[in-house]
Amino acid sequence: MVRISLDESLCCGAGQCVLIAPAVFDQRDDGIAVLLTEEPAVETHDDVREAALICPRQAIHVVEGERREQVRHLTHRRAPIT
Amino acid sequence: MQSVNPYEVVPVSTHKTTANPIEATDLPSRAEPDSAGAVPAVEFPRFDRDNPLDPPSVYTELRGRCPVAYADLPSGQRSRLVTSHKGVRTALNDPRFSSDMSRPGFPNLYAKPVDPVLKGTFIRMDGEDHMFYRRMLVGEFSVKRVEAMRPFVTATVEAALDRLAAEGPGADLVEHVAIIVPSQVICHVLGVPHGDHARFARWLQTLFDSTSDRDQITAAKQGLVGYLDELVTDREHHERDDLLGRLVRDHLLTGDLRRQEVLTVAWMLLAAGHETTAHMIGLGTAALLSHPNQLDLLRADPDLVLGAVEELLRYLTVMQLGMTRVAVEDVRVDGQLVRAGEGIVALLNVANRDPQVFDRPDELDVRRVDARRHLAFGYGPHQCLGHTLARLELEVVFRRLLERFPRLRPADPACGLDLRREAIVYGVSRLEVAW
Repeated sequence: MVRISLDESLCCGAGQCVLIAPAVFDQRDDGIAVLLTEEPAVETHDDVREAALICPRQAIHVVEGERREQVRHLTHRRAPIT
Repeated sequence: MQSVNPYEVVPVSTHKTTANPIEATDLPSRAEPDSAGAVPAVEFPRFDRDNPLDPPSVYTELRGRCPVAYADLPSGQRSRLVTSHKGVRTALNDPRFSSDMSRPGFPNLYAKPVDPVLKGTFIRMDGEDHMFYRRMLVGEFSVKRVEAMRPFVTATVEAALDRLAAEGPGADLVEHVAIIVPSQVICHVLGVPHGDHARFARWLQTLFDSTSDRDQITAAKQGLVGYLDELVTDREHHERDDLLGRLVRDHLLTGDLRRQEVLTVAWMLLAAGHETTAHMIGLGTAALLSHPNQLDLLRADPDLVLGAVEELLRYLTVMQLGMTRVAVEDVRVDGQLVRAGEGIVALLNVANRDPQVFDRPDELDVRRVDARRHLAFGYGPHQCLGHTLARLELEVVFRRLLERFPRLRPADPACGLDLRREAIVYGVSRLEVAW
């Protein structure tokens, strides 16, 4: 189980999180990130951790639960066309 | 429950004792020696590379030994030189480092004096002042908005590759593809007629030429600003569906920005969108051609291109002079104390080869899964505004180049690379290819 939070006041709108985990992060019209869910699905956990790592403002906070899922091979995602 | 930032579990690099430190000259009186003794000082910039695709070894060698050393600059200043991944991240994201070049101690990488900060040059602002301008632009380069540019980018790449094909084997990829694609794309985004390319290309080249003197730079900025002024005037009277049009409509006509600020933002975006992506295309192609195994992997599995783009960004890191900052308070950087008032040169290319972060860091590996942890676009609040667009351009170029020219090779394999050795943006001046 993983819980995440996003500090909007730190966000500079880079969008790296959206590129890495588009099911979990989105951007407003002004580019600032929004969290789509605070408890992301298990298949997104590795990508969420990567997004937290990559975030240039360290604005994503990941709190790990008791059991850590086995690390999967990271995939490179393209953002969905919306 | 403890939140874990995986970066923080990486062990802090230790300062190893060496028999021959590079140089232990007269140290500033406030220098804090490490456990081994002297903190080394090296000349910066130096451009001598053992391998044209690796950073200068004088700086790579420092990373393991003393990742926060000293740099002696052409201006006569002595600044801190940061070479570890962890150190560079601190330098670029900690709010105790300023981007304001008018502050005393700010590193000047050139022998000539520095221009004063122009209002609207948000690249040299901090905190809320910086975000005030950045927030006006960052939505234009969001993931969604950039993805919507894909059809235009694709058409632009196809047309450039058509011209390359028409030129025939022996054609210069830099001239026909690398320079053209980013220029056409950023012009389209801004609303600058690409037909005017001849007018502003000269000015842009002057701005990016590290040998340009102060007068030449001033003249180039004035030329660009005068040209963009015509486009801004047009948009005061006609609604245009482009970035300049929206800047005028939403920020100039509303009084958020003064005219000078709009013009400065416009020339910065025009300049930023050109050289960096162009030289990633040129040098990236040269790198792939000189790593045939990697090229074969990409040809066999075109879906590797996204990862390959990240790896090329990491491996090449064309911004070879790094990023500059100045400390406004005492800050500990990768274990070393940096004092308020000390300048910082943060070397992105050397940090991108840090073995604390990347396995086999000096290998080009298009299948590397964590290449995205690179700092080629910088870090912190000033991270490259156009990084998503750059990534899209690189993805489309490399994918289509390899699909359309499956037997791409150097036209003359015996010929060495024509390198932009001392340019702000490293790369190749030309790359004749055959297929």
